[in-house]
Amino acid sequence: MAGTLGCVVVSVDGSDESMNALRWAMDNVRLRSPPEGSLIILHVQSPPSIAVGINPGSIPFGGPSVEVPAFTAAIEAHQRRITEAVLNRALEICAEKNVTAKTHVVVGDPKEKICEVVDSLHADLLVMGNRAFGPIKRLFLGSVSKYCSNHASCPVVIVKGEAGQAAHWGMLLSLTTQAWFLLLLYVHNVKSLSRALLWL
Amino acid sequence: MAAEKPVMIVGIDDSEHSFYALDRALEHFFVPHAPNFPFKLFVVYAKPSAASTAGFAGAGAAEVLPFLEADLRRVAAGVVDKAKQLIISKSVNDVTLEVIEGDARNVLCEAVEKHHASVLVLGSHGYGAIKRAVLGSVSDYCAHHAHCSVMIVKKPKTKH
Repeated sequence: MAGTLGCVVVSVDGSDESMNALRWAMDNVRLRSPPEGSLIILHVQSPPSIAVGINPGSIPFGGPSVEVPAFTAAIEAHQRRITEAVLNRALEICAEKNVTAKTHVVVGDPKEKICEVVDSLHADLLVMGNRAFGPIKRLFLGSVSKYCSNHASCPVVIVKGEAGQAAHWGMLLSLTTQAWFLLLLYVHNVKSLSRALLWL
Repeated sequence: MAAEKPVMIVGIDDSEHSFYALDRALEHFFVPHAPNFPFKLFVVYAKPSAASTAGFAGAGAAEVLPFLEADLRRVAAGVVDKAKQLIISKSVNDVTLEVIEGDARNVLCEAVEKHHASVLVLGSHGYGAIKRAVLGSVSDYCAHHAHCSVMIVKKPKTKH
């Protein structure tokens, strides 16, 4: 029972959500028989400069000085190991379901690179997980899935697991703690203000 | 005897984009599996209410409302008809069409809850950042808030 989908790209980043997305794709998506129909597992590696920026503490002297070749080489090797681990995990899942898939690795900004790859491969469908960050982190880090759903040239499936529910509680918790913190801050300010007035 | 089939909900409005999304959903998830479709399909049309549409009209709103209501009902009938034709042309059965009045965002998320859907399919108008900020985006809202996987289908722009 061959399907109608030609090229399906599943974007993985090592998170559980993306592995879930891969499983969803294999369970629900019907490809045309090969060679037209193909499942492509895409992993986007962050470029070394970004990797340094995210963990400045792990680099002695704490600078994003990627000009030092030894550092760059070490970072690249580390990235390569992460990529291999992610792809191995993805391929294990494929083997469980008896599905053959090709892997594809690109280096760059995840959201732009995913859309580029989808464009160049003329993909019919993009499947990705939802990182389930709370609303605050999403504001600063941006959401890859949101960007891709707006800019990809093909339909995008954002797969959520039970994690979707957990995210809501996490959001609620983070919002209540933030509200509590703000309240404390306000009270503290009022106290110091009244003390200052008394002093006057 | 048959296991409960997972539920797919396709949200439509009166735009071409959402019919393209319905078309894609049927093509990719139903047509290849005929006649054993893997999903139970619900097509939900969120009918705007006359009061919300006339919200900004102000003083003259009361007179306009009945005409607005009749017009909206006509549009809804047209949408349901068109959807039915598309579904029949793809030879898909076991489809339920629903027209629910209200704001599309809430209607679709509630429909997901009600039917315990596993996939929600939406078209996207493909607004840019500014339009999105002003008009709001149903697909963005549902992608965040729906408790199920969301498929967002953009109609490809015709190349010049």
